[in-house]
Amino acid sequence: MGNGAWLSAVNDPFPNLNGTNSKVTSRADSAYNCFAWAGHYTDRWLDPIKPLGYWPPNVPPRATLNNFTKVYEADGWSRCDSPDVEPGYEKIAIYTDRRGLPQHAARQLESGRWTSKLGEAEDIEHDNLEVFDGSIYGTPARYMRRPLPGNASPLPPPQP
Amino acid sequence: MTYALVRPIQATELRPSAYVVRELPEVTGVDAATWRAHDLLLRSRALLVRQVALGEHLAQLHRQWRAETRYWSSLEAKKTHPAYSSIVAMGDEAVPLILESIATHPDLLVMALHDITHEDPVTPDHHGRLLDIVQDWLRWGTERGYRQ
Repeated sequence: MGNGAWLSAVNDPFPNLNGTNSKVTSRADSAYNCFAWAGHYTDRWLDPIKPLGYWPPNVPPRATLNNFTKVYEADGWSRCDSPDVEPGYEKIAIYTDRRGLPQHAARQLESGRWTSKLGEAEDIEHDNLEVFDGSIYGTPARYMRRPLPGNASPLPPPQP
Repeated sequence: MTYALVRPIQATELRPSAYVVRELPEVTGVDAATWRAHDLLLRSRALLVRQVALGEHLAQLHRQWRAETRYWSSLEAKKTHPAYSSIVAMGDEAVPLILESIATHPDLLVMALHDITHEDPVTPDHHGRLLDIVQDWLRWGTERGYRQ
């Protein structure tokens, strides 16, 4: 998909996003949001507002950073300190606004680039997390990682 | 002579349920002819015109809501947008129009049905799944007589 028409539509909400640092990788789809896409889901809107949103029953139904963290932890993600590439792992960055509330999530690709779903709009691939600087998404506030398939953590050595 | 005044409660509330047969002070009853006139009015061109106007109003609000919240991933934030609030404020009249809209274009607008009717026909295993949620609401709309 080309980078022409959509850029004129997204330049205002995302002043740092352009055709050089990003590209569109899907059509717009209202069936899932960025939080679902970051967790590899395209069949649900990950949000505590039911029934339109899906939210695990054992996580408090409020869209806070800690609760989103719990949602991802239930899927095998764990907190980490940085967005830097770590061989064998994929990563998620959760963006929060000035109130500390999650507004976006992006997932790191094996190449080190990132992929994001823009609300109801398209998926994009972007160079780094700074492409959303100055946008409605705020800034990255938490990073999580998970072993890539085939890179499961080795079992701990047996206890003597 | 028995007669009655048939009129909408408010000009801005031109919906079928807003049309009432009001008795004048001296009236002791409302005759059958007046009730027939009342029924005719409910099926009149004026109401058809209003239905079209309501449809256009909903479509305009929907376009605005989608355009201005297109990149938002928080349903709570989307629900606080003024255009969404205006859609919900349309009330029961908007229900068949929303059902018609989502039947052809499944969309997050479906959540306004819950906020208007306070009903929840969505089965728990469909939570989060837009297409399944739309189907549950369309089934509800058919059962309640909002659509054929």
